[in-house]
Amino acid sequence: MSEATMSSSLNIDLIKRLESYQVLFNDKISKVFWSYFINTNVDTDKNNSRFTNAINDVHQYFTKTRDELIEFCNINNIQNKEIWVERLQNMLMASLIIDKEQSKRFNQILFSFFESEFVSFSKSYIGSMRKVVVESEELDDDDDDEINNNSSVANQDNEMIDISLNDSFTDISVKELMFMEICDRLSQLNFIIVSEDLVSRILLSKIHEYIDTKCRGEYERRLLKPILNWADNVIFKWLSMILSKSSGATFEQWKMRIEFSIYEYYSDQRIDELFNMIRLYPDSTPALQDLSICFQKISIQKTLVENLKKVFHQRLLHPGANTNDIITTYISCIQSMKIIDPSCIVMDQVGQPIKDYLANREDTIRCIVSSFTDETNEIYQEFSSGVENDDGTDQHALDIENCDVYLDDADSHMDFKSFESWQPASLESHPNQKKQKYKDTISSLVNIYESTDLFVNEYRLMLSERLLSMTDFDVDKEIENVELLKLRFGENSMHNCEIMIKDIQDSKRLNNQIGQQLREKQLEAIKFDTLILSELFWPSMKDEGFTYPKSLSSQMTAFSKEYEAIKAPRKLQWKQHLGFVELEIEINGQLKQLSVSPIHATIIMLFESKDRLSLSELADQLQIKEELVKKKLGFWVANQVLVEVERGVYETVKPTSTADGKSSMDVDNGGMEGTGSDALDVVVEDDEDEQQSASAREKEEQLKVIENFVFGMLNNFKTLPIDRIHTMLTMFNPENYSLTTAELKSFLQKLQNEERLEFSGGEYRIKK
Amino acid sequence: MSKTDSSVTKRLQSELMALMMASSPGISAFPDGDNMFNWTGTIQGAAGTVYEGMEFKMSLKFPTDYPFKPPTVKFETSCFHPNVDPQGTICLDILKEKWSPIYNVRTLLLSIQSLLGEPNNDSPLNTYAASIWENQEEYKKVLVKKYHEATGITISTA
Repeated sequence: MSEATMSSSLNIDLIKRLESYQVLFNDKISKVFWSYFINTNVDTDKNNSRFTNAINDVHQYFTKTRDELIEFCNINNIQNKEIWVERLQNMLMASLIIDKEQSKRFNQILFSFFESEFVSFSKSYIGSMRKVVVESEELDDDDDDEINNNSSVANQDNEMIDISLNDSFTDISVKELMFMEICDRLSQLNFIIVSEDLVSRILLSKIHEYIDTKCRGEYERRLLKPILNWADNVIFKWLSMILSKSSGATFEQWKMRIEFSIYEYYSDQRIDELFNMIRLYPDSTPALQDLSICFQKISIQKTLVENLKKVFHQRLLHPGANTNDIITTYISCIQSMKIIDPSCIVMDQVGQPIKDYLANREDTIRCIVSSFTDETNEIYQEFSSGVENDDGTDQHALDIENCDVYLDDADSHMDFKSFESWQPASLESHPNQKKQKYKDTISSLVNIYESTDLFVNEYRLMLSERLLSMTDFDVDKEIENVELLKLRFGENSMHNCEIMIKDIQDSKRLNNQIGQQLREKQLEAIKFDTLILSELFWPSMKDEGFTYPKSLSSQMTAFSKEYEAIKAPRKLQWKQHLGFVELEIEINGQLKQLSVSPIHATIIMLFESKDRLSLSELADQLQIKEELVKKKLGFWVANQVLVEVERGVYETVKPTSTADGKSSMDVDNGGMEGTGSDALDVVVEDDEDEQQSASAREKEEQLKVIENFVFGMLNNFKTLPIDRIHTMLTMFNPENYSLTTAELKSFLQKLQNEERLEFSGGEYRIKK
Repeated sequence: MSKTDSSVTKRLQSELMALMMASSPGISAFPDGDNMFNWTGTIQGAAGTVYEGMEFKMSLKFPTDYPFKPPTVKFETSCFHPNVDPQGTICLDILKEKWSPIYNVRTLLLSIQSLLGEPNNDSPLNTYAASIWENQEEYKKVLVKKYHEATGITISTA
């Protein structure tokens, strides 16, 4: 009871004492403090002595009252002195900052103080670095990358150097000591805690500034470590001076927070420019390696993926971008992501939109396949160097990846087995498989598509083009390519291509043999080479017949006879529109050498016997449509060999100076190549047939299947609504059917337009 | 779905694909709605026979051990024919003891189509039809009448 009374009376004394301090603070200290800042603009006034003096004065008063208070406590045996000191600190703060205006101004004063302190500190750091550089240059030391970096920063700012060169080392340390002293005072006044927010704001903005100036557009050097070094030498050193009176834990906390911000801002900055880095790969490898460190330290996966997806969408995956560029970028992206994230999870995510986009572009396969065989292409280098490891896993890798997509193709037994052993794809469970996924460029490209068949097909198509446009039967290069492809796609996949090449080789032999026999029988009027193709193994293409000139067709028949004698029971089927003819035409006394398609040659040969022919006569003799003749005649008109004298009537160009007034055309020793099976005509300039890529053709075939199914259904059910058709297609034709209802609707609309379907009462029926 | 079921489904699926892609005039079939094991078929009478111009609906039910057992095939459109009974049951050897797994939906439908024009009058299910088969003119008259009763479609006898 008595103790309680005593302590409460003491408390009353203490409170009275505190109240008197409050009056002192309000009347005196506050006035003294603010008197330093009357009529000054803290933003422009960078002179810290004003602040230093103000703090010194405040500190002097404060320590006096504080010591009095502590002594009072000691005499009266009052516990918890710290609480009362803290109370005193709060009172001081309250007296200095009475209203919002003052609070704002106080913050401004603190901010500008710390900021200018930091600037002068970092200048002196750069200055000292420069001294080191100068010294190391004198000693001719090995170039330390980091020092060079810093010196280069110093060089950028001449003003900084001027100032720092004027400061001696001792001067710097004196400044530092002064700063530490004032920080000590601030901390006694409890001002450090209130400035923490300001300090971290200053530091972060300085870090951002530093990273921005150092890193923007710079990908060819490792920058993360120099930045962290700089932070150690400048940021953390400066921070340690401010926090010298605080506990180590506080400093560690600060350090961790700021380090995190450095990683965060640095990776943000790098991710911002990641697209450029990918484009510049492999020159940008150092920057990517830095980013990889960030990737391990902090979680940037989501930002990375989102940002890349966005930037790819904006800058790459649009119609204006060249397919080859997209492929190149895709490959660089794979390589870059492999550096950043070896587990390839990021790549899986960002690669998908590119893959999807590429798969939808019709010329993608063609670009990829041609890059395999183009000797100037980088991919070719990798391709021709063959499979890296010889244990056959590579070829297998492709198969494994495709098998989960192509289960349907496996027989039911396999299907069942893999069904049972299926496991969800997880990060850890198949690290090897993940790695293999992007192991080499070619597999990555091939994996854009679900099946390798498309590639093999496209390759076959392109091979057939090349083989058919070949004049010298030299297939060594093609054999080599096919061998290389076999290593990737398996022995069987290239079977067709091998036969195609063999056909060319056989043709060469047969041409010699049969040609010999024809010459012996004096049947050879025009020298011609024949390509004999095995129909089953070549890409199927349309047949476009017309009547050949007699002299040639009789020779062709003779050739067929000889062939059939040698190769019975095989028969030759001529593809007359394919191949090319080398002609020598004399116009106005000038000899012109031309390489044209058989139909062009045939047309011009008809003019050999007659100068003037009409469209209908030509069409009649050739047995093709007039429009087609007209189209083909365009070539000769353009070449100034024929003129259209009146509508639908053509004449050879009359020589203006030749004496006999007659133009002569000779089919002179030109090689005429008929081909024994269908293929592509690549020689003709005005050929209107656009070549479709394998994927486009596949799409067309799919639609054909769907069409047949629709008719099959309607045949048996008479009328059906669209959703029934859709369900049944999904159910009974799962491999080919992938249309959405809207796509199906437009497809059915097309059939309606062709008057093959009718639509009434919400149901479709076959139009009779 | 059991393993056998899935292989039967696969077989039927590939048969369907083949049937859709092959052009076989006058015959057609498609799975019934949502079940791969029940199909609806359509047979048109071959040209040059009394059945020309007529169209018959069929039902095909596949057993789970197809193709080792034949499917059950019936006429759904009532068919006046020596080897077809009023319930639509067909008397055809390859649908019973002569069945072989090498047959498929397409060959089966083609066989039934040709049975229309060339009945086996030795073992008739419809004795009346068998008895008048020889007189094609009378046969056609009865057939057209029966077909009209079944479908409401009138075929000219001319």
